[in-house]
Amino acid sequence: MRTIALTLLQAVVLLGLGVVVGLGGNAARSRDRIDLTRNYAPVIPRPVPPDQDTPNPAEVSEPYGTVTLDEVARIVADTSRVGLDVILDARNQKAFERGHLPGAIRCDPYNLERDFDYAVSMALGAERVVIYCHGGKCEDSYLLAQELLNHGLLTERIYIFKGGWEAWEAHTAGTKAPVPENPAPAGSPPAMNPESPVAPPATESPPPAPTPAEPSLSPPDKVAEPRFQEVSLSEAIALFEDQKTTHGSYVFVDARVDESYEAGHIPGAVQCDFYRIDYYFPDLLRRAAHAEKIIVYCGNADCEDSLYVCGELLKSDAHRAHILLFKGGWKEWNEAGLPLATGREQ
Amino acid sequence: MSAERRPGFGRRLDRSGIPLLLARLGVGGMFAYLAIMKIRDPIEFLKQIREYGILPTEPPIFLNLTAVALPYLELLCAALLLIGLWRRGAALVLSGMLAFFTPMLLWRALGIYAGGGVGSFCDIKFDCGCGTGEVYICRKLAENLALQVGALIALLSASHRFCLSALFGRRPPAAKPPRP
Repeated sequence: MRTIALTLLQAVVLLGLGVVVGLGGNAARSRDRIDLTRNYAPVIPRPVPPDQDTPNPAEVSEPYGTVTLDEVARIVADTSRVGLDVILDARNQKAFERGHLPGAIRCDPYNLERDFDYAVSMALGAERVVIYCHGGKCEDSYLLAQELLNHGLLTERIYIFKGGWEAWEAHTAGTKAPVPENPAPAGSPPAMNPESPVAPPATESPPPAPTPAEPSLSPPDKVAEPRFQEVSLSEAIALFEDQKTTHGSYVFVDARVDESYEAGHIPGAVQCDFYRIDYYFPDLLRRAAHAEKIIVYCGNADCEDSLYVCGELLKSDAHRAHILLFKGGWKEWNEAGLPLATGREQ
Repeated sequence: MSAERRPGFGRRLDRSGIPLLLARLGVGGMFAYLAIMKIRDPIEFLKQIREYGILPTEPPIFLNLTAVALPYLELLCAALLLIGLWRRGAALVLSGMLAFFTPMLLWRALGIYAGGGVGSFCDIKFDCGCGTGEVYICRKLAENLALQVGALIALLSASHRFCLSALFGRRPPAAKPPRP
């Protein structure tokens, strides 16, 4: 009897300890932390059987438009609508890094503090926002769509690519140079079907026929290629040493925070901390008004702030300039023992 | 003639401490691994337990707290089982979890099977949120059964051998040395 009571007592204490340790472990996480009060369950529209007399209205109507694989392929191929058609990847960082749709912006709805501000800023400026996740039964695109709605994005601008990454991956694996059927003329928006409540899954769409005359989409190994042209360290040095940099035709932009910038930066670089972009951006635009090339960098190859600043530049008046991404960033520059400046630029 | 009755084979085996040691290592090791996998990706675990539909999504605190606490509880119990401290309490918690989640697993698999599209029941493969990704249902059920047997051995064994708790247990008082 004493053993049973002791065992039960141990079990109860362990349950309590488990909760305490779990809460502590969750609070200590820098990423993937679960917000206990946030409802992570998205509202997913379900098809209602036709014989059901009193369907729940909330479950009948698909709140968002849907896009098929063909339509997504057209969006990706149409570079004239960069910034107007925004593709958001609702999967996690690992999945995104393994591969994503060309030009897609990462926005994991479970880690909003990481990418959400940038994704919202891009989405609010867009005419169409296409969201995808893994495909199949994944619900993360709906969760992200809900978050975007909460931040003011209009329902009619949101389109769910139900086939998701699985459909895209299968599509690009099947055709080396896949091109959508009847490609839309440059500049014209791709056809989408916001009225359709249950669009056929993109995986069921026939793969677009390859047409050599049309621009081809990226094969799978190039899917993760960024939309901005990258420059290597040697290219960055060449640009830095070019007379045009001295004359202001080539502008270096440092996307890091104040402390990092003041501790050391590429001489002449204009600071534009993405997280205080409202403060820095007017000055950057003034400096880059007549720039021929804008070279953006941040801390190192892993940081993404430079990419975000590139996105902002693309939306601004500076989009006419050739925007380049120096991926190696300050780390590579500094390790190579190249010239540096400290403090603030005059 | 009143020879002392020899204990049965089962009891002798139990007293050897070997079954308990194997059960502790097996169950503790497996649960520690599964817990670490869940802790590494809590979001995925949250999504998976939501799939079971056991807990309400509104208010979200119950579901989220379960996703936060369960892996750490498993890890704690697994660690105690491995070192042999609070062994019965830890085994009871793990056994209770298995007794609760295995029928849920079966229920979800039956739901998938009823939905059609799979050849036989054992062809069903899905991510059960157990920490190992997608698994075949029959294999998972067999694994859970084995873990349950192990947890029950750890719970009911009378042995304390190879356990850290044996160091803290009561010992018979040592005989006083005779006075010179």
